[in-house]
Amino acid sequence: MSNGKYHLISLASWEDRFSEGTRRLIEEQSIASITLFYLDQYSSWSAEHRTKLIQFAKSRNVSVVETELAFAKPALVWTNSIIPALDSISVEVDVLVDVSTMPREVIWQVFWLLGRRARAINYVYHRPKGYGEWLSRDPGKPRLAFKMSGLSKLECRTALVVLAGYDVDRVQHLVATFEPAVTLLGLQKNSVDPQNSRKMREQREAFEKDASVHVFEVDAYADDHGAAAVKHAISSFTSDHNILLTSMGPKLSAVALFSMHWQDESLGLVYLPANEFNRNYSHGIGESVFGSIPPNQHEVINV
Amino acid sequence: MSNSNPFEYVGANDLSRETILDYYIEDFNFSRFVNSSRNVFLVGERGCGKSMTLLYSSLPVQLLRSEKSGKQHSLEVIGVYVPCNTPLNHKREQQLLDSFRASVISEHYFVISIAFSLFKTLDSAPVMLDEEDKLRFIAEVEFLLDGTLPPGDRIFRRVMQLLEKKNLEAQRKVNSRENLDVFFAETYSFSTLIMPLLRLCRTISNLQKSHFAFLIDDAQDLNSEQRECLFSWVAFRDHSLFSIKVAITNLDRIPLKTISGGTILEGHDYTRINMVQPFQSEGADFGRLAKQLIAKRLEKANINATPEEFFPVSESMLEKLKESEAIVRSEAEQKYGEDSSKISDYVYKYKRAHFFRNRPATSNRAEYSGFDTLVFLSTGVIRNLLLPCYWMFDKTVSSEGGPPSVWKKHCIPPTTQSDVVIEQSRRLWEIAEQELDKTLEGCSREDANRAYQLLDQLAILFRERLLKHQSEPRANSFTISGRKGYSIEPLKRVLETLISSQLLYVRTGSAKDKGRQERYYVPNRMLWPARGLDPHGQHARVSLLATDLWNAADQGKALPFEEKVSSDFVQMELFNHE
Repeated sequence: MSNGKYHLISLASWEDRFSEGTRRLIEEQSIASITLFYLDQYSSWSAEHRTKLIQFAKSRNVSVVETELAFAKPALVWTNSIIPALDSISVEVDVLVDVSTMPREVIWQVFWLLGRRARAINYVYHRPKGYGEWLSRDPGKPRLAFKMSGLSKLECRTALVVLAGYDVDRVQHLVATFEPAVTLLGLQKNSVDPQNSRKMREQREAFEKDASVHVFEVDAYADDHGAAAVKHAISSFTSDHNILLTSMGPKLSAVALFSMHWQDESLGLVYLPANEFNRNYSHGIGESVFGSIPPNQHEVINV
Repeated sequence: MSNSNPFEYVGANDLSRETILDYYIEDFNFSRFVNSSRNVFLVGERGCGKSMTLLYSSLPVQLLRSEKSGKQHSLEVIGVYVPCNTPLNHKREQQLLDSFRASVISEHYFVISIAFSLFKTLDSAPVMLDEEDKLRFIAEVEFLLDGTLPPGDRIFRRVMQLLEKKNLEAQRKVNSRENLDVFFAETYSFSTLIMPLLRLCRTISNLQKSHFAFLIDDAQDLNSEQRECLFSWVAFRDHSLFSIKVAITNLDRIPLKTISGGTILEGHDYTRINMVQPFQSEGADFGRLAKQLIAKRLEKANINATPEEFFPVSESMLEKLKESEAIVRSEAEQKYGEDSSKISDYVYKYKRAHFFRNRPATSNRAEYSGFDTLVFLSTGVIRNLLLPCYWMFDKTVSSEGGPPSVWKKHCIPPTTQSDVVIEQSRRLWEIAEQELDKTLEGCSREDANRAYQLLDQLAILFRERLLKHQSEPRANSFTISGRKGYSIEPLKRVLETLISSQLLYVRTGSAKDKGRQERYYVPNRMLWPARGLDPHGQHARVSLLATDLWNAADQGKALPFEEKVSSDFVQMELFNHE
């Protein structure tokens, strides 16, 4: 991180790592101002943390602008909330994005708008101390991200890359939606979470008999958050498939997928929304992982 | 023979032309309608053979069919297969625009896909163009598409390349990082692109009398604007040049609106074919289709056995059924004397019920074996038929250590059949109990729970009936009564949850009052073995009050049951029954 002042973009949550993580950033990093998004549907869950954070920020002379996101209206979120919020940040200021509790779609939208500024995209991810039993239920319809939907060739069938989380059903839901010719299933190989190896084994077992599913290992906590492993996995499919990328595993893998899309606009990003979250999904806060996507990594592959 | 599994269920899009030709059964499924010049809607949930039917009708497969039979294809009907489940149709940047511009972009994506499919199809055909025709054709295409065809020998492939270029240019504009706009002006519509192209194709000497049948697969994956466009084309009166065949999962959930605000009408604008067939007995269309389908798979795998021989019924079950039949027959003879029709009706109703009622309490679950049981368990869906066969074959290869030629009895042992059926049945209950809110879009935990509770109470009711009901013990489908004045929406949501997850199927059939058609519900029969029920069912359906169904779903309250003969059932059709 540079020594200059940062503008922090964060999404308020009910998780400990949101409140503790933001305090940590204010105290340990040089934060001048904050854009604080919150989801309208969960505003009551995040209200207490937001109020306390605003008070804390005030006490440290950090200004906070809150922006509500209409959870069920993604087009409105993009046009009426994210774009104006990002437009209001001076292009001269370095921005730090806290991705810890931000939905992947919002991460990609914020990164996309920041990417156009030709400055580095800085981000931070706070690991929790521990996880609960489940994260989300009641899936919505998987959707391609605005402006990041890739280039779909008429001649080609779909190759779907899924960086799997803990839920086999959600992977199956994605496969059923896009009916890809091939599914590349990325399984997280290392995790502080003791459940990880069992859950990844379940994913492997669920798909091992399906000849159209290719399993590969990925490490979202590696320096590149797994981008090299994903690139390797798709290398033999890029010329004759439309590649869709989605992340349901560790949040940092969403950063890797964005960076891949930013380098190759033909890759489409898919977001799988959920309508119900577990209030006790995580507890505490662990280490904070910082990273940066260098500017101008824009290499369009001509089809 | 190899270990490769002849019952593998692969999506039709993953099959080669040869395999489609080999596996497709033309009979008993109305597929010949697809080759007519009328507009046809093939309706049915996943796995019922819609894509296979469209692909079979596509020109490349039909050309191969002609070639194999030593005939020349007339090119009178050109089936153009158009898949809709593509990333292009999943794009949604249009949502950032006003409705008019959104509609223009949506139609453009759809139309450019159709044009591409048209030329991909023609590229496979023996289309005759002399040099002069070629030059004229190229000039007209280049004018229409405002671009130059790339060099090459295959003219239609060159048109495909130009269309692909146009397609990528449009997407690049939409996804441009230079600006936030997502609109592009150079768009095409059906009337500005497809119609002129079709007319141009008709000028080719051996296509002058061709009818173009657009085979639109997975129309449920189109966005609402694209569907409105599609239905507008369906509403075209003149079918001399083209017709539209649409495969779609469910028409009930989709408004049949056209761009101009009208609505297309069944019978008038299109013919509807229900691909999920209501009856599964040996004599019913689906029973005959299933038999041909499995026989063909066995034949292709060089397995010399009929479906009944390959999936035999357990000897002990046959024995016990015979005993039950004898007892029930003697009861009937005492009751009806020499009235043979009444006796056979009585035997039909009570033979299997007697078997289930008189199994010792300590006995294991009834064996679920025999080809006809598998057909019943499919509930009329081809995928549901093939999947258990696949697992049974796989299990037998594992236990016998090789292909059928080395198996002791050259068939799937009844115990293996039964084990797989019970396993699959339990798995279905697991899905019903734990997974609906994880896999179904828009399904809350509460509705998932209600859906499970409703199925659970239906299983309890049908079991009670099987063991105790005096008149229709094996009824395992139901209708909903008492709707008048009752707000059915919450119950409808629960039923929709079950229908979307294919745990429940909807059919229409004759109601009690003659002539009227009514909707009835058939739970996926694969649910029944885990509950010790008989999947064979009976041609009767139970009438249940909407309020009772809701209480069962919402509170897990038992559905009312009376042992006596009552009027709470409806006889099914006289013909084509189970």
